[in-house]
Amino acid sequence: MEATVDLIIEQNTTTLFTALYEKAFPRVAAFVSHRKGSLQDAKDIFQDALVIFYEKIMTRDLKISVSREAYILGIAKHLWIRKFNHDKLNVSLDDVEREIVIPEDYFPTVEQNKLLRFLELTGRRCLELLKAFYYDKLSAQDVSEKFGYGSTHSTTVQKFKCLEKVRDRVKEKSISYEDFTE
Amino acid sequence: MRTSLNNIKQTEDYLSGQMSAGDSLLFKAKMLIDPSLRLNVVMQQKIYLLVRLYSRQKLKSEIENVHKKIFHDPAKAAFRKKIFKYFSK
Repeated sequence: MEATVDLIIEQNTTTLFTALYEKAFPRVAAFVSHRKGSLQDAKDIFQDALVIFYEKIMTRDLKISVSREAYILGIAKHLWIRKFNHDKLNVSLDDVEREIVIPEDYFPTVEQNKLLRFLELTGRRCLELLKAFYYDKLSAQDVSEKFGYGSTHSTTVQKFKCLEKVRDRVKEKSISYEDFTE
Repeated sequence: MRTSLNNIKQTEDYLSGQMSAGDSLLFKAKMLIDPSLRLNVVMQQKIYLLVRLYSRQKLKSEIENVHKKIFHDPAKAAFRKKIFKYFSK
């Protein structure tokens, strides 16, 4: 899947998602409508499936023997089962689909959502910088260009500063929420 | 880098498994005797998760924009028709 990562960097995510929408959404919509789901259900599940697909590409832990559309449909089936557990026995998964794992931490808790909103209010720049490093897996070089830092060294220092800043904010907030994790 | 930032870097190396076995052992020993370091490690782990959750939200809004575009673009009428047909019953 190395080629796909390079493809994303070369094109951009919008181009990739547009292409995947056209190719994979009809299959997910067919699956959901067959199970008496709504268009809104199909949309929600498909969008989450795209996010999970993207993450699997970015961490390079994706080796698939089927087409991208088929793989995305597989993720969507898992999400469907998760959402409508009663339908579990009616959804058949093939061998490739059975291997698919949805990240355990995918759906945020109420407390996590609260923290996120709070962090966004106190400053997006650090979150964006950390996203670039850890989620989009950009190199220090790419991040310095994107954020306008003079060198990769100062970008890396900035990354640690941001981690510290966000950590200290969450610490404060956690104390005030009295839900210490330890 | 100042000490506090070095600690963050060390914690990152430790959590991501990039530390040598010896350094990792030393770091664990430090954690045992230093409750504030222990807390910081737990917190930093939590931050990586929060960054992931934040990033997912951003990515989803990007995907939502693609959805809106496709569902409003006159050139994509045939595609829409195909989708709506599934839900017309």
